[in-house]
Formats: sequence, C-alpha cells, structure tokens
Amino acid sequence: MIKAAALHIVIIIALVIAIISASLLSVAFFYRLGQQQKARMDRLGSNLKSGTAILLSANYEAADTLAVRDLFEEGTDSVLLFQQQWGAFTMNTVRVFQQQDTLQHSFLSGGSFTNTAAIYLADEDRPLSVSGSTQITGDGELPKSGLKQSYIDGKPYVGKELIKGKITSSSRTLPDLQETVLKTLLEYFPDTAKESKPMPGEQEWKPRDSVANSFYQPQQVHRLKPSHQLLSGITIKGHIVLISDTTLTIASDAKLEDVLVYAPAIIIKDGFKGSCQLFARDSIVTGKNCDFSYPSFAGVFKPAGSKIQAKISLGEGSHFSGILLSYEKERSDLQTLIAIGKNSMVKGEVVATGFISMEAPVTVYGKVYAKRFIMQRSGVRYENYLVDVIINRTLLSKYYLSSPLFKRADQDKHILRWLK
Amino acid sequence: MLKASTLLEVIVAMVIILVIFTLAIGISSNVLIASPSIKKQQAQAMADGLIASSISEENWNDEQMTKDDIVLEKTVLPYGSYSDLVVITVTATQQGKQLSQLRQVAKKSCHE
Repeated sequence: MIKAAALHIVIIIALVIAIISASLLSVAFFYRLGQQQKARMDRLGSNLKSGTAILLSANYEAADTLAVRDLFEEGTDSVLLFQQQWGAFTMNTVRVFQQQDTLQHSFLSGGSFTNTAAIYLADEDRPLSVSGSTQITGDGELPKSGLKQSYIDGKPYVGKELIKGKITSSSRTLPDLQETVLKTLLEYFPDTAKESKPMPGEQEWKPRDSVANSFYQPQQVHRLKPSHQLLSGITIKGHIVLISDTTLTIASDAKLEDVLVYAPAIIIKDGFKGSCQLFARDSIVTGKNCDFSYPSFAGVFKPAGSKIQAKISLGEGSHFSGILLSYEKERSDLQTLIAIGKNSMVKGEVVATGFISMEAPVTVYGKVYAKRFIMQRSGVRYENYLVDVIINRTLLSKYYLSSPLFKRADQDKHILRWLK
Repeated sequence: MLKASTLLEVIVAMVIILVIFTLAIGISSNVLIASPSIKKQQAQAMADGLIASSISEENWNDEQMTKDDIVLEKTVLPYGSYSDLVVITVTATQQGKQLSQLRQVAKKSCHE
C-alpha cells in the first residue's frame, strides 16, 4: 500500500489551480464576448448614423421598398434604408445588423426653414393696410403698391414701424408646390384613388379602443364605413392612414398621434388635442380651444371644377403648430379660405392660394402666405387689411422644420421627430 | 508489502505540480494575449470622439493629432455621387502599428 499524504495535498493544490484557471478562462471568455459585442454595437451605431446621413442627403432618391446598401462597398457594412412620404413630411427608417445584433430607428424629416419673411402677399395691385395694434416682425414680400397705415372703425395704427424688416416685391402668384409630393398626397383621396386597386396595407376598419401600428411595420390603410363617421373615445397612433368617403367627425376624446386622415370634409370637436395630418377636399372645421401639436398639418385641396369654397376654419382660442394650407391648382371664382378664429395662435406656416381671414386678436409665429387678406367688420368687407394681428417670424423656433411640399432653394433636410 | 516511498511520492507530486503549473501558465498567458488591449479600446474611443467632434463642428479638413502616444489620422473624402455627403475615416496608430480604424458617412450642411 502506498502512503500518499503528499500526493493528496498535491491533488488538492492541483484542483485549486484548475478551478482558478477555469475561472480565469470563463472570465476571459465573457469579457471577450462583451468586448466583441460592444465593438459590434459601436460599429452598428456608426453605420446607423451613416445610414441616417444618406437618407437626409438632398441627392438621395427614395425607394418605396427597403433598399439594401453596402456602405463602403467592401461587403462588410450593410444598411437597410427606407424612405416614404408621410403626409406633408418624410418618414425614414434605417436598419443595420451584424450577426444577431440589429439596430434600427425611424424618424420624420423636414426641410430647414431659413426664409426670414413673415408675410407674403401676392401682388394683385392692392396695397396691404395695417391698423390697430398690428405688429409684423420679419421681412415682407408685398405688392409693389406697398404697405400703408389706415383707420378702421375710427382706430388708427398704433405702432411706430409698419413692419420690422425689409420689404421686397412679391409676384402675382404664390410660390409653387412640389408636384411629385402633391401628387403622392392626393393619391389617398377617394376621388383620385383607383378604386379597383386597393391601397397597399388596406384593411377593414374594426372599431376598437385603440389602434396602433409601429413605423417599423408596413403602413395600415383603414377605409371607414359610412356607419363609422364619428371617431370618439379611441386612440389611433402610428403608421396608419384613415380614409373616409364622407364627412368625418373627430370628437375631443379621440387621440390621434402621427396618423393621416383623408376625407371630403373633416369636423374636429371643441377641445381636441393631438398631433395629426388632416387632408380634405372641401373643408376642415375645428372647434374651440383645440390644440394641434407639432408637427400637425391641415390642408384642403380643392378639386378642379368644384363649385364650393374650400375652407379651413380654426376655432376660437385654438393652438396650431405646423402648417395650414389651402390649395387649388387653377384660380376659381370661389377661392379657398383659411379662417383663423379669435385668440388663436399658429406656430408655423399659413399658406392660402386664396384668402386668409383673421379674427383679431390672432398671433402667428412664422410666415403667412396669401393672395388676399379679408376681414368682415360691421357688415363691411375689407380686403388686404390687417387689424390687431401679430405676425412674428423671429419668434418661430429655430428648430422648426417645414414640409418638402414647398419648393425652396437650400432646403436642408433634418430630423424632425423620432418615431416608434 | 510495499511501504510508502517518500522519494516516489515526492517525484509524482512534483510531476503533477509541474504539469498543472505549465497548463495554468499557458492558460493565463493565452488569456492575457487574447484579450483586447486597453490601448486599442482607448484608440477606438479617441477615434470615435474625433469623428463626433468633426461632425458637430462641421470640420471637413484632413487632420493628424497625437495624444497619449497614439497618432490619430483623419481623412475626409466625398461619398459616392452625393455632393453633400463625406466619409470620415480615422485611423489610430501607435509606433506605426494600427490600433483601430473607424469610418462614418456624414452630411454637410447645404449652406456651406
């Protein structure tokens, strides 16, 4: 029999050393794994930024499908890029992947708004008259007949300067819109849509408490039945287009976020709050004290041959952050109208290829484009008079981004909002 | 009956200890050699920082700088047919040996 007391001790020492070595190996393995993952994620993060830069390039040509791009043409860094017009703005998605790791983000983009003018009034050989406590801060693109002060209801102009900015001449028409963007916008209207061919992502509308669709998913198009012409007590958000063939009413307890709404006429009830893009053929009428947060869009697009006056009416005491647009391609007898109610505030742009009526006091931080301003006082209709109106271009946020719908030189694309 | 031999015991113990220590040293040296060096990680972070600062400051010039014995070389080239995009490449080296290389596409402001 071999007595092995020393051997026992050696075996125990060997075991301890083996355990320490195994622990060291495991620590090194997991440390290395973590390092590799971090390196991969760093690289993916960098590629994600590269993909975002490509989507924001002025030269990028959008594809309606996911475009796979080899970033540095070495077969090692691939990105998936997707760009789609989302109402008046642009929706972008970038996805990068390596092994089992994927990073993606989706965002709305818009164009920089560097124009320093506060007002554009088409030259119809009539001057613009200001009265009361009207303040125009920013440059003015005005008719050659200029700007003058006047008395309305016996009240003179109380300010010192008629406009705090330079005056340049306007042309007889409003700046053109981007035809391609406009065409895509109008495709969803029931009267222009090809009825035999359903929209991509079209599905039957089933009323529920909430409907949501991520921007990472393909868009959903819901066509509302005539029996569902009131949206009430519902939350709708995300990559969703709602299309109605008749007048659609949106109650104040409906919550809309990022969705597009198309209808011949849209009625928004008092006290509505949300961020959405509304497109109508005939009218958009909002109730009192509505709050549309940025980036919202309300546009009426009068079809050729229509005999009614297409109109956007922003109710008393409402706040609107974004773009109000009334558009008709050819000038008709009843030109389009944007009516802004008393005590309302608009932060953004008000563009009317027709008339703008502002019921004093009204505040606009941004720019106003019109063919003519109209005002009704004591049964008298005044044209191109501004009374007790504040239009201030300088108080519009420097982060405000406009729509690619408007033709502008040097329109630099930026991220407007992250989407989920 | 064989009695315990102290010499045999000690020899066997020494052999086992020798084998185990050789293995342990081999494993630990492998672990130390294979793990990414702190210098490489530092170089990666510096290259990342240089790209980020170039984009935020809109600095599209080629540059070279040395910090903590690491040489960072930044080159800016146009990206494909895009007039407003550039590829920023930052290569970090130490005594001529490349530690890290980072590339990112960046957008230039169109008002330049």
